[in-house]
Amino acid sequence: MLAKCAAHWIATGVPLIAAAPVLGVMLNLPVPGYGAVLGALALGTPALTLIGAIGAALTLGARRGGVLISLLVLPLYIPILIFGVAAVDAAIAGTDAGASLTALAGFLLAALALAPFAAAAALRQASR
Amino acid sequence: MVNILANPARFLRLAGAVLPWCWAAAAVTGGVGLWLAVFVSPADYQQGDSVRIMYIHVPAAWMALAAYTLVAVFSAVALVWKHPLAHIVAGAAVPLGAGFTAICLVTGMLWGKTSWGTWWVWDARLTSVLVLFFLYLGLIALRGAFDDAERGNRAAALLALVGFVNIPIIKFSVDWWATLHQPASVLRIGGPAIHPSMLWPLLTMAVAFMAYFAALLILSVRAEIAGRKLQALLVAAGRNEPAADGLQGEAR
Repeated sequence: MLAKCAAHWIATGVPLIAAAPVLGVMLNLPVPGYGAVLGALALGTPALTLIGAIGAALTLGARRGGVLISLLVLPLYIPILIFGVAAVDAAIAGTDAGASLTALAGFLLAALALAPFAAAAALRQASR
Repeated sequence: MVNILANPARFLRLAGAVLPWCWAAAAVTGGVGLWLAVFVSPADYQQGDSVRIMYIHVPAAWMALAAYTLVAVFSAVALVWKHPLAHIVAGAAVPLGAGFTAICLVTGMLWGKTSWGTWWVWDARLTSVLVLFFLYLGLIALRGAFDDAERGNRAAALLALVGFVNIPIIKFSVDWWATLHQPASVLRIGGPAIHPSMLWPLLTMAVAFMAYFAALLILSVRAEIAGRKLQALLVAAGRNEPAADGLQGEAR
């Protein structure tokens, strides 16, 4: 499960992190924001992949699974989005982005510890 | 305890005996609670009469959390011991919990408009309750998304367990993040920080909501069991009629 998630993250998360500085320049991101953007993406995207894995495993073989997975997974993405935005906001405003980045790291660790088991359980019940 | 209630016939007998008491308790406490809330309890010195929204908003929020906890507990029971009745109870509680969450969100927005001056902020408490609402909707959708009803039940039960991480986040969001929503003022260390003249109507309304929830839950579990019996009877009837056999097979 973890290997699958890692592969998915390398295919989606890593290119996003690599593209982020270029996109930042295009969108006129203030200079102090770059470190926070990279840090937040590096911590946030693997957590998104891990949470998404649960949704993907649960909706396997479901009718209209594509719509369903967004209904299941997007709400769970909101906290990560909020803390990622908060980290960048704090860095741009010149305050400490550490608190939000630490919260992101916490989400990542929790997802890393729990999501593979949940996704594996979902796969097991799907194949029964 | 679990095994005694797992027998649907015994459950139905017990539920039938409890149901009138639930309705009576809901009607009495709801009536008294509303009377206390609207006529007896004082208006707030800052918020005026809009504080009375609390008597709906807070019990609805408590029930939203309690209903989800119930769904998660019954989902765990259903996954571990494979009791069909546990799936039925969890499935019946989900729309009710979604309803309470919707009431909580709507009254919260009305109250927020009058006392904070805004309908919505992306505050930790508000956001986590919105996530709870979407979890409820996801549970409803996921349960119905499979051709095999049993698979839908299992997938929904698993999602309910995954979503349970949100419940402590909702409860403690007001302590962990000091944003717009006020911290807990009833269930807190050091006793309630709310005057008895407002606390008693609130607790009465909470009992009313609880009894109403129990009554609705029993009703919808009964309806689901009756529906399954009907389905089984129809299938059995279809099998006994050779002429209708082909039609039945195609319809399914």
